[in-house]
Order: sequence, then C-alpha cells, then structure tokens
Amino acid sequence: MVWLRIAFLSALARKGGLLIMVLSTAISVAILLGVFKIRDDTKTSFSNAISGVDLVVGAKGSPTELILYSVFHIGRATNTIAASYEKSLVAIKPVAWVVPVQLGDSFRGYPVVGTSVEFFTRIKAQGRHLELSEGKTLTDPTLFEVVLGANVAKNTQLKLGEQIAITHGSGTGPKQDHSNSPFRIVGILKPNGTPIDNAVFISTNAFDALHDIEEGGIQFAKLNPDSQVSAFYVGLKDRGSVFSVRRQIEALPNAGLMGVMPGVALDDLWSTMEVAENALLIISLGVLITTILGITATLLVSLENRRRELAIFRAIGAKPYQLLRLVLFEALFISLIGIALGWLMLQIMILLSTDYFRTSWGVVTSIGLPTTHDLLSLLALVIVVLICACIPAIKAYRMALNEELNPPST
Amino acid sequence: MRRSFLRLSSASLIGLVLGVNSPQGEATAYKEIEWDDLMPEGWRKKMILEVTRMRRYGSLMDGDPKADEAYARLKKAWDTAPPSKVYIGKAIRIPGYVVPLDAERMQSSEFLLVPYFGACIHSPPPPANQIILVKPPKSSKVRTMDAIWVEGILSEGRSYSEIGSSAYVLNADKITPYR
Repeated sequence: MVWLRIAFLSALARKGGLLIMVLSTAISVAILLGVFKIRDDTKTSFSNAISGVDLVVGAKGSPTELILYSVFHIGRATNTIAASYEKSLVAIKPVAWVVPVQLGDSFRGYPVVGTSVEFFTRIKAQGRHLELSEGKTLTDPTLFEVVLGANVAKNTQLKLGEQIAITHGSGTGPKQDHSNSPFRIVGILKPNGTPIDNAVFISTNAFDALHDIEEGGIQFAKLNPDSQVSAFYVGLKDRGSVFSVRRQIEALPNAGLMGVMPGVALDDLWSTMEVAENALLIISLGVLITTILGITATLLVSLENRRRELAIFRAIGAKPYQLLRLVLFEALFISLIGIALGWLMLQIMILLSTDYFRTSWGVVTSIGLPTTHDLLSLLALVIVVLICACIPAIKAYRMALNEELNPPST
Repeated sequence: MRRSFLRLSSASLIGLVLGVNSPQGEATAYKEIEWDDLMPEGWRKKMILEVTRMRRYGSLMDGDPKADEAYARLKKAWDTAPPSKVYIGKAIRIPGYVVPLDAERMQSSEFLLVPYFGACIHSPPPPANQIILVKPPKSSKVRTMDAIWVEGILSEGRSYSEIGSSAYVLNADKITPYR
C-alpha cells in the first residue's frame, strides 16, 4: 500500500488548501445534520410530552394554541374554563379519567401547574409513567405541597422539605411575590425530556388559594365556585369512541368547550411548519452543493500545481489509472475527514446549546450517533463528491508525460 | 399529507440498499371492500329513510329546537350504529384516511380509519360502523389524514356496548399509501 502513503505525504505537503476544504466540508455537514437533528428532536420532544392523553379539553379557540399552552407552556394563554365542568366530563360514559390543568403562575420563571393527585398516575412521558427521584407526589389536595420537575430542582438547587414562595403571574418581580405562601417541597421528579421537567406542580386548591389572597395570609377556601382551569386532560376507556366523546363535550350546553386530539393537533402544527422546515433543508443543501463544487474546484486547481509531481510518478512507473486513484482517494479522504469533523462540531454545539433549546423552545436535544437517515444522506454526499472528483481525476489520468517533464522553454 | 422529498427518497434508498421489500400478502387473499359494505343493509335503508324524512326540516332555521332535536336523534343513531356481520373474521382490504390516536408515533401506534377527508375535524363524526380502529403492523408510520390502504382481518369492536365506539377493529397485516 505504498501509494496510500504517497497520497498521504503528497497531501501533507499541500495541507493549507486541503485543510480549508476539510473545514468547509465539516461546516456544511454540521449544518445539514443540525437541520435534521432539530427537525427530529422538535417532533419527538413535542409528541413525547403528551402520551397517554386522548383528548385535551379547553375553551373554544385554536386547537394548536390550546395544546401549545396547556401542554408545552408556550405561546399565548388560552381562555380558562370553569373547573366545575370536570363533573360533566366524568359523566360522559367512555371517559376513564379527567385531570385538570391550571396555568398562569410561575416560580422563578418556571411555570406552575395546578393539578390533581391523579396527574402523577395518569400522565405519561415518552410512553412511561412519571417517576420520582425523591420524596412523594402530591397526596393531599388541601396542603401547600409542591413537586418539582427535574430541571427546576437541578437549576434552583432546592432540596426536599424546603419552603418556597410562588409568584403570581409570569414575571419574576418581587412585588407580586406571594411571599407569605409557604409551599413545602415534597417531591422531585426524574427527568423525562418533556416540559414536565421544567414545571412546578401544586394542587388545584393551592392554586386557587394563591388567587384568593387575604390580608392575614392565604387560606384554603372551603369551596371555590369560581375556580378556573386552562384545560382538562382526558383519558378514555375505549379509544375508538374518541369522536363521540368529543362531540358530547362540545355539545355540553353553554359550556363553549372544545376537545382536541393531541395527535391531530400536532400533525397540523407540523404541516404548518413544513414550509420553514423545507426552507431550512434547501438552504443546507445549497451549502452542501457549494462545498462539493469547492472540493472539485480546489482539486482541479491543485492539479495544475501538481503537474510536475504527477509527471514524476508517471516517470517512475505509475500507470495512468494509479494517478486517477490518487486523486479520487484524496477527494474521498477530504470528505470522510470533513464528515467526521462536522459531526463532532455538531455534537459540541448541541452540548453547548441544550439548555437554551430546552428553556426557550421546549425542545430537548441530546448528542447521539447519526440516524440511518443521516448516514444515508452522508453516503449520498460522499458519492456525489467522488463523482465530481472524477473530473480532475480524469484530467490527471490524461496528462501527457513528455509535456510535463519538458515544459515549453521560454 | 405532504412529506419532505428527502424522507421519501431515503426510505426508498434503504429499500434498495438492503434489498428489502415490504412483506407481500402471503397466501391470504384480501377481499377489497367499500365502506358501504360495513353498514348492515337494514340499518342503511333505515338511515336513508331517516335522512329523507329530515328534508321537511329544510325550512327550519339554525337553532330551532325541532331541528336540534332531529339532529340529536340522528347523532344518537350514528353513535349506536351496529356493525355488519358480513366481513367479521374475514381478510379485507379497504382504503381510508388516518386519524392518529397518539401524539407520539411509536412504530405501532393505533389509529382510526375513516371514510372521508377531514372526518377528524368536522362535526358530526362518521357513524360508528364507519370508523375502524386499526392496529398496525410494526413497520408503519402514518400521519393525520394520510390516505392509505389497509389489509388485515376485521373483527368486531372491543366494547361495542360502549356508545359511540368504533364498531370494528382491524388487525392490519399491511399498510400501503393510497394511489
């Protein structure tokens, strides 16, 4: 394999230009894989967050908005509905369970979710039930207990048993602090890669109490007829009856309710976003094509500089096809090293930006091996590079020996 | 709905590279049926009669109690629509639109198959005997309102006693895009 060594040493002698080629390949590979990654992770982290829920019920309006707000805690607050509709929902025959969700308050910037004890047994994330890493879930709906999502606990460094205050509204300003509301941390959830990680859970009664504040501190109202919720999560005994249940929910007199099937709403969202998604893809493909053309051009130019070198190879007995092989291998190595480097760059970028994506977009990214889809695209890239590299390779193959060793005298 | 070109092409590429073809229906012959075949003949005639009779409400305004009552009666009839026994236990092949039941797309998430586009959004929903709960084979991934062919053994809905449930369950052997 002496020719491999020759190819390597020859490349080393021209490392400046080749390094730039490798870098440009790496960057375009990182962009392409990054677009794939963001697309896939957005979809999975959104759809994983709501497994086990058959219908999300809220005030009539935009289904996508309801899902985004009540499940992912992003976007505009939707209208609230009376908490008393829970009874009407449970009365619908195929309904197995109903979990209320109250939103609107925050704790140090993390959304506070007022919910029932059942939330922790019914809701799944990534197809699995919620698990505690410490403590217990909310058990007594009349206590100021709070359960923290994994990230909240990690980022605030709060421990089990500590007392905290919860802010009214979504701001972090001190004025609106319900400072005299002593919530005690009773549980911390295990991370599951969904918005649940970033939320703080209290009981619906405690949530109502926050809004019913009296001079001498907050107290649980005996009965709060005005209690409002943002949404109900509904699970069915029989999933085939979802249409009928939804119709019955929407037919409840004077309620103005809407039932949203999460899968349908998310698919709607994806098809809206498909335009942006495709634009991103086209841009990254454009970058990729530029890179491939760049590699070809650089190889062509370097061929001019290598006339002597190639001629010497011929003179010491290299066959034309061996020169062809030399150039093709150079292109292959550039693209392979570029791909490896690009993948590495992407992993580093992901590591650096995970927190940003999670907190501002609710998207969970993680480093990982390339998917089959990624590998196929990269394989396609290598093949295209090799095809394009045929142009300079064939040129090297055809270079006449005598012409090179005897440059026209000036 | 639309899929990005890349995803399609990569799927076909995998097929080419690995030499894998989707499993063809072995010895089983799937009988191609229509949605009308899933309505019991008697019930269907009754519904046609019912709807025809409703024509006389044509002059009523929206929100008229008489119209509301007639609508409620029809919806009840649709929710309790009985299944036809003709194809129960038979291998069938039927086209329809997908309504996903799960947000996450595991490889084998159940979904509903309905006869017309938009059935998941528009009210009223189709009659119970015009909804099939499909249990897909491992290798399928579908999205809302994808048009597909489903092949498999038809059985009666799990809990038909439950009002408004889909009257049928189909254990799908194969799912192919509708063309």
